[in-house]
Amino acid sequence: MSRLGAIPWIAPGLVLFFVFVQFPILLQVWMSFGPDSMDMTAAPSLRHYVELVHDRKFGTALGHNVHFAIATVIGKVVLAFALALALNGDFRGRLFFRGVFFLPVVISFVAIGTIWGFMLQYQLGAVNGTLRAMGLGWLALDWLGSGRLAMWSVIFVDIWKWTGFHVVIYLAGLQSLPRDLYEAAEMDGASAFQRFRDITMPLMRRYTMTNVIIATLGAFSVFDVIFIMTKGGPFNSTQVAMTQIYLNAFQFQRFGYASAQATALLAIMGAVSIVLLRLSQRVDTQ
Amino acid sequence: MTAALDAPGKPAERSLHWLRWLILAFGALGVLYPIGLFLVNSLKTNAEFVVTPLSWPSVWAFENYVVAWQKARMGRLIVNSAIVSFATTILTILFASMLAFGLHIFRFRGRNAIMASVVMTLTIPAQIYIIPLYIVVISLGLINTHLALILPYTAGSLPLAVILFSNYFAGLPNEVIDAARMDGSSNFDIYRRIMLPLSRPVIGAVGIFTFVGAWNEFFLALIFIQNKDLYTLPLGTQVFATSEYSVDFTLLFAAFSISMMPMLIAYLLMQRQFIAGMAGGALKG
Repeated sequence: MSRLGAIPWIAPGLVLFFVFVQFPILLQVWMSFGPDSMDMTAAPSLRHYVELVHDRKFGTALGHNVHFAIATVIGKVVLAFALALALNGDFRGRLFFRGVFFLPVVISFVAIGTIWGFMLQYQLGAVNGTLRAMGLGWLALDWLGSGRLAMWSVIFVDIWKWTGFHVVIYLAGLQSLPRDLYEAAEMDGASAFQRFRDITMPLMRRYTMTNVIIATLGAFSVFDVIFIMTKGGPFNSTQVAMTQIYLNAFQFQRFGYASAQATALLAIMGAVSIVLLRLSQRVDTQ
Repeated sequence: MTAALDAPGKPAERSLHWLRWLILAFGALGVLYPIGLFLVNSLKTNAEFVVTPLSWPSVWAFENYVVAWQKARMGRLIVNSAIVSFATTILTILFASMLAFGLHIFRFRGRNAIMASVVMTLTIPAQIYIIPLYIVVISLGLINTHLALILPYTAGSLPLAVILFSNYFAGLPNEVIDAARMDGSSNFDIYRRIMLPLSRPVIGAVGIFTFVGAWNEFFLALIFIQNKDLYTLPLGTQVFATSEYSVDFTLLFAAFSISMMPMLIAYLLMQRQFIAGMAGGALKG
């Protein structure tokens, strides 16, 4: 059949996709070599990248992304695996608990950030209120107002929102486990712990990799939870790459420089996903 | 299926059974307590909340909801979010299914390259290219219109949607299309009368992850919409939270509670479809 006949079917989607995804990504690379003033006739230069390498703020922000990525990935994977194991099997209430764990996934971060902003509020927040009521008043800290704690608080809220999503991925994995393998192992006298260690754990590695990849890429482009809860503060302790890009582009009107930052971030995310995909291929072939 | 935790009887395994319920109870409490407390506080007067933030309301302040509905213009926000989300969902389903169908039926050279070029950006969120996107939106005169959200949301949803439709079409037996063609059906007939009805499960999954994504999206709305009449729910409630009403805590709680209600109700009614639609894409993609 002629390829011309395909045009009416594929053109609407492809044109929209080009205009609003592919072209902007290319334009951004080009803009990163141009001036901040959007003067299209200026000669391309590398000066934004030179500035970028020496930009302490951006370096620190990327460091926060790494911190955020490591902590949220570990938190989400460990919690989700434990919850998925507890959910696995046939028992009454299974669907109820699964539904509860998934609930934060469908609520917007704007609402979740506000809910937890009040939970963690120093004076009136439920967290400190409960601690004081338990006689643990010395543990009632300024969770969002302290430069040492604010990052851990947004990490916690991000884990709270997304764990249910990773639970469902693990559950799909647990339900694909070959039942006869367990029966054979039981016949051979393997204990429940041995079956878990030697069958469940190795077979779940691919699902762990899926969860790690999704959570890591999300961590490098994180914005909403930080903008809602801390706006990058206090004392820039929760500045991440996206909040820097937002500030440079839309507060300081430095489109060229912010484009260089965004291009660098995209390159970092690309490199990270290549490494993770390599790792997961190795896991798959084991 | 009953891997490690589901064999009551022997003492060791009975204790595992207790462990399961302990984990589940803690998890459920951890999710429900903050949301529940928030809803309860939204029904207190501000004066009472400031004194006893953890107690049950002594006076039920239902008027918070009436005042919040008016002051935060909740009706307007819900309508705007509905317009944006439904339009995004319909366009995504339409364009993705057409694109996948075109590549399925017309087996020309270069179709794999087209597919790859779309799928390549699967893991790139729109906020990464917000600056050039902003320029595109301004150049097309879309700034401060709902199309400034609908078109980028649709484009951003296309990669995963196209993957899901393509995989599904590839899994259908070729005889279905061949038989229809023998009967003299046009491509349009095959698409509308055979392929679309057959892909109901994919339409459901794509529809849900696209709708929830558009409904909850905040960053693009923050950049592209400055006109108050066009605010979506996340943007409108966020602006309300930083307005002169920001000191009236329980009024804010009421506004946010209202903002969560449509999604919570939809989720309660279609929990299974939501979970399959939002997590299924990640497993297949």
